[in-house]
Amino acid sequence: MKTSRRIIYVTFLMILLASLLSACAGGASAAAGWPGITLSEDGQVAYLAFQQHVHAVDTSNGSELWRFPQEADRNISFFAPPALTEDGNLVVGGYNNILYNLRTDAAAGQNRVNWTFTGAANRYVDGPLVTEQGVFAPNADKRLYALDESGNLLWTFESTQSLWGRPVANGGLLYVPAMDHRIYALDMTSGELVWDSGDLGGAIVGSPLLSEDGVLYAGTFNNQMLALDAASGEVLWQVTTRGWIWASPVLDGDILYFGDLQGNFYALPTSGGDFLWQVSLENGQNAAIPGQALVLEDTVYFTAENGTFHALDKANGQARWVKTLTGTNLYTGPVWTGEYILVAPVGGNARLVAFGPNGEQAWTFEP
Amino acid sequence: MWDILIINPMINILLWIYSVIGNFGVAIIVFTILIRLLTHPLNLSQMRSAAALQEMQKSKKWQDIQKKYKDDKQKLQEEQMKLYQEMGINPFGSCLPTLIQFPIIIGLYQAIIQALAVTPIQLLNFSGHIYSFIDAARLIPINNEFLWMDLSQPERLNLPFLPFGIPVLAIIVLVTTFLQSRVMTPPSQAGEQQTAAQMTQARNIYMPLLMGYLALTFASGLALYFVISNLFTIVQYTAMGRADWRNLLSFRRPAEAAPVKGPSKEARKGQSGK
Repeated sequence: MKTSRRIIYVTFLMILLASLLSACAGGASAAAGWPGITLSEDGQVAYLAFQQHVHAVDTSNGSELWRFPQEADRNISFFAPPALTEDGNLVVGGYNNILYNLRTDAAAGQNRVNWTFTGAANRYVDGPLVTEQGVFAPNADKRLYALDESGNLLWTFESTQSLWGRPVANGGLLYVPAMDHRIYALDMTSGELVWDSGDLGGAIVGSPLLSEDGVLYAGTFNNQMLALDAASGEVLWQVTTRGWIWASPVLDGDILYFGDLQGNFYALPTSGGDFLWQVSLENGQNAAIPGQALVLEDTVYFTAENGTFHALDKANGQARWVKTLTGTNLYTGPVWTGEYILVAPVGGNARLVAFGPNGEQAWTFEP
Repeated sequence: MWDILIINPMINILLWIYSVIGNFGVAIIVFTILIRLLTHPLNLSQMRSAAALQEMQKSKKWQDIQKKYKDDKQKLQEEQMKLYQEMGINPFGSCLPTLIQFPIIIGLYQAIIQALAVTPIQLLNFSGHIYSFIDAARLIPINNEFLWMDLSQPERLNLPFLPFGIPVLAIIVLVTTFLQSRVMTPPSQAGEQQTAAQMTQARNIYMPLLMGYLALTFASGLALYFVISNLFTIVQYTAMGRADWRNLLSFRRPAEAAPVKGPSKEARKGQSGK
């Protein structure tokens, strides 16, 4: 073999190694996260954040009203669910570490950005909490950023690990779930720490649920669902599940509904103790349930990583129907527009699929 | 199959080491040394094959074959293969360990990236690789800070007075790869094929540049593996007395091949006189 051919051969092998490593690393936005969905107050518009765009979709027929940015930019990607402000604007965080406040009227065209906040050092995995007191945006740089309605920084809070879950609030206190296994209660005005739950045994990735009677419910990666007193942070009870819990639970009456990453779905009374019922998905592998469930009348709906969309009788867990979106993953939980249930598949061409409450498919949105 | 045989064991061994040591950068270092110790017999075999190959190429038999069949490539290859078999040498014995390193490098990189899990999909996928007896809840998320580095990101040392970050690890990878290549390369021998020497020289330039590039662009956990792996090899060769440190500063061009002499004048006269 001539020298030049040998050099080409070695070079090819090395380029192959570099390519294989590149394939391992994956792109910045490809399959990094899953879609985030927020509905307008009247349910007429769905705001979908996924990959290079935020889409505004008419929920009556699946037509696109606008998208941001209009032209895709490979340096910008969105996976966190947007949040609506009182004046009808949209706040959404990107994987480019920028938080955007966007106009939602279709006429805005190229002038959609009201303001941006560029002070974060890492990506926004979950959406911000928007209240009268301001915008509270958790970031993977371990900080929570509190901004006013114009995007000016009010204060920051720093944890010891990434903040992936959206905080919840009761008007005076802000509850921040953290991957360092803790929930922090902060004064919403000053950002001062009011209480710290201590190590709850596992990372808290999703948003906790705050009930009207002042109880925080949070799932952890320690295979537990916990109830904490929102005033003091005291753990009231903890129940062990079979798998890690990512999703926020949903509360219907006095029953919590939630899934775990092993493909198990639970109905648990708010008093803790024994499950009312629990089901395991067939073919539990790759059947993680990271999205929040939806309860409508007597049915509980949830989606699973293996592309299945389930409707169960909320009283006893009996399956009513299952829809399979072949070739897709369903990570985001279903949302109710008032007329349709929307799911957001990853993979395939459709970004949103609308179903009626009885499982009949109504429309799809394909950008 | 790749996950079951390569990724899952690597991830879980890394996690276990991390659970004992508490520092992921040190866990990568320890894991690298472990891998190198496990592949030591292969490397030993490679060194012996390379040394035997070199000795054979210095032998008179080899030189005679090169001269006799220099114009007949096919016959030359046949005779070379016969000589390999006669002397019990595997001509690919020096390549196999290098090729085996490929899946190890790729597997280790995947294991590091999955364990550090900086996006939801990565974390979800990671959860599916963990063995049940690993106390993952306590360990996750893994602390990705090591010295000044974020192990999940390309490394840069940011200094207050500089507007750009210095790729310290990439430079170390480039230097140690170069060092390793140089001390492992024996000096060119008289009569050695020029092409073989040129090949070695080209590799000694390409490899450091390529490894430096990989260290520059990929997560610093991989670059850390490269540095430790290179240093281990240098120590390994030195301990076995096979490192040639004189070669470090030697930049001689490959020796020119001795010209092949044709028949003498008298021989040519004798032939024409028949």
